[in-house]
Amino acid sequence: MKTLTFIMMKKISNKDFQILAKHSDIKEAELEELLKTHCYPDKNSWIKTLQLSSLILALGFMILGIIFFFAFNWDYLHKFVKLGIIETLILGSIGIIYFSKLPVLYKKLTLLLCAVLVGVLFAVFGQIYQTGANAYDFFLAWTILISLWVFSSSFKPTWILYFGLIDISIILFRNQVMQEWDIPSLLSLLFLINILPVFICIYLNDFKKCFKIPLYFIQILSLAAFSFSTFGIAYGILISENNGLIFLIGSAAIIYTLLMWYGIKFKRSFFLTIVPFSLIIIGSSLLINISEDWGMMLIIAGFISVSTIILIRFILKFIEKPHEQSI
Amino acid sequence: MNNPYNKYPVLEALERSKIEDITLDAENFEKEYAFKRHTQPFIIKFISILGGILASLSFAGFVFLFNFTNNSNSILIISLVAIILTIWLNNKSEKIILSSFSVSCYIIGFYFLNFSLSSYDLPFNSSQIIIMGISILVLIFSKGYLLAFLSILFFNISFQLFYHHFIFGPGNKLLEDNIILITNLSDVLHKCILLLLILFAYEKEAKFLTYKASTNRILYPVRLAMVIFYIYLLYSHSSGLGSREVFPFPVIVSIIQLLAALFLINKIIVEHNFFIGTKKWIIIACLAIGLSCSIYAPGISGAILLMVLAFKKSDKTTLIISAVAFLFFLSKYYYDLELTLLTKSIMLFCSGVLFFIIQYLLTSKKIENEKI
Repeated sequence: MKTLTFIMMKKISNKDFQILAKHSDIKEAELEELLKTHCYPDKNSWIKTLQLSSLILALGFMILGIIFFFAFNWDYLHKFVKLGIIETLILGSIGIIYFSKLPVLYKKLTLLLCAVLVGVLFAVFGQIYQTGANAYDFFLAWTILISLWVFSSSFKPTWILYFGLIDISIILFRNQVMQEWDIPSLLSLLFLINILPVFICIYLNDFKKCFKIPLYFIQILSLAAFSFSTFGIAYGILISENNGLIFLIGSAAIIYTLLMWYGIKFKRSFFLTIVPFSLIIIGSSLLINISEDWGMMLIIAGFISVSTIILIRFILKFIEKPHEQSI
Repeated sequence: MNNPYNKYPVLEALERSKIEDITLDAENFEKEYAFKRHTQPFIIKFISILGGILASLSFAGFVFLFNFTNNSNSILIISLVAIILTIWLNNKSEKIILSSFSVSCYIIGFYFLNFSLSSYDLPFNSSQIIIMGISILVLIFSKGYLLAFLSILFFNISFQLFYHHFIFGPGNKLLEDNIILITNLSDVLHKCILLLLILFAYEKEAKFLTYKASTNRILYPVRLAMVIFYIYLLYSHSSGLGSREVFPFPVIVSIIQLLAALFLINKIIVEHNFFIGTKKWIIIACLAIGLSCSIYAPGISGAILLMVLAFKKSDKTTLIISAVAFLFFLSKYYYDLELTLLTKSIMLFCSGVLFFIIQYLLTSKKIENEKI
């Protein structure tokens, strides 16, 4: 990391020189000189880059060679050896976390690696013993076993992995076991499961102000939740499955209103854009449901463009950023 | 005139250099700098692009259904209208939503133009020539980055379609028999022209930036579009097994790229005084031998060439794209190799050890040289 920053540090970007050349009468030779001094890499940068790239290539090739060697002999390995390798890796990573003096970030990344390795262990186990279990069993077991690690670490990518696994387990559970669930019910369950942590994080961030949960985590979770709800409502409208649809629409209405209120009160442009955009998509699906003619397609095109422009104008006016680019 | 010099690093650099007698349009400079530097929140950009895409998809659906139900040839007219709309919207303002609309209009117009012209069965594939001409027109009248980028991409796509489906007139028996040979030759020619243009655009960056306002505006998007199309061409004609059927064309491309890479590396060595005397030729010979192992996979040497070029001219986008392409072509090469996994794993491990030796040599010798 340090070497990379050293290479790219104190350099002026090409675009600045482009603007300079556009608004002045600088000559070619002079610009070339300026570019050589302040933009293009010098001898030290070249040397450091070559060293770094040859190191990366060397390590990459060697590790790939070892992995391919194992892959070639995988069928001939005894099953204890196969499980033993992965378990050694997990134990080794946990040993690194406990006993080494790495910075905290690297330890958290190692914990994430451990969580992924648990899944690999289960996959190898299933491949060796061929238990014939459903796929959702695999994901559910994986989720439950890494719960302790996830709750104890406050590393948000691990949390994202955890929620991804929960969503996949629920989807596979419905596909393989509970086929009587219709899709809007499934998606409303997923929507609620994903939006609940968002509410908790918002509460902790803005009302209690005790933790500082990073924004990207809240945004990824709410993006997932809104995709589920939008897709569920659109699906329900177009395919007219009414069982879970009313529940989904009701819960979505309440949650959308709450989040809009939160966005307006605390000036969060993310929620102010994503809720209306979801409503635009639902509106288009309502229009498609009415008719599928070429006339309706033109109306939909007009509807989407006009509503997007109005939405962006509303956001820009609301956020009051100090620049002139408003529509 | 002193006020601007303190705020902008590029003007500071200008002041520190020995350049005299330069007139700077400070007001427009500040305006453009502020315009390029301010960032809207990412979500607004995302939503406007997504909204533009969805609106254009439904518009495209409208055109299809209208043409289908009314059996008319309206697609041609609509595509021409779309392209004129592109230029008008693009020139109207640089706001992100109008530019994303103009981009989607252009893509729709291009696609429908192709679709409608192909149904007329023009001789000598002149529909593609018309489309190439239209792309150049859009390039000339465009104002932003994305439209120039797309017009060069479409120009190259039409050019490739042109020589791939070339229809010779009746009576050209000699040419018709050798049609595969001619297609492959034109493909190699296309790659060589692109390679020359890319080298020219990168090496003479200062010349293009200072020549005219128009070349200044279109240099970066045109360069990036040519690089991306070049990588696409390398991919589409570098299947490891299939290339033996069309021997010797991948080998020709590899050799040309090898020569270009050696020329470039020679320039770098001379410019920065890396080695002295005979060591230079040893390094160049080693590199030539190393790169010639990939003679059936021109993708690898091409990606390395682009990486070196992009790093030399500090172009981060191209560097990342060519690095990803290098990894992809390398994996493809090893995947297509018809050896057992055991042999491959030993090969990989040995190459790793080789790179370690190179790295060790670099760290020890260079540090010695620097101290001298």
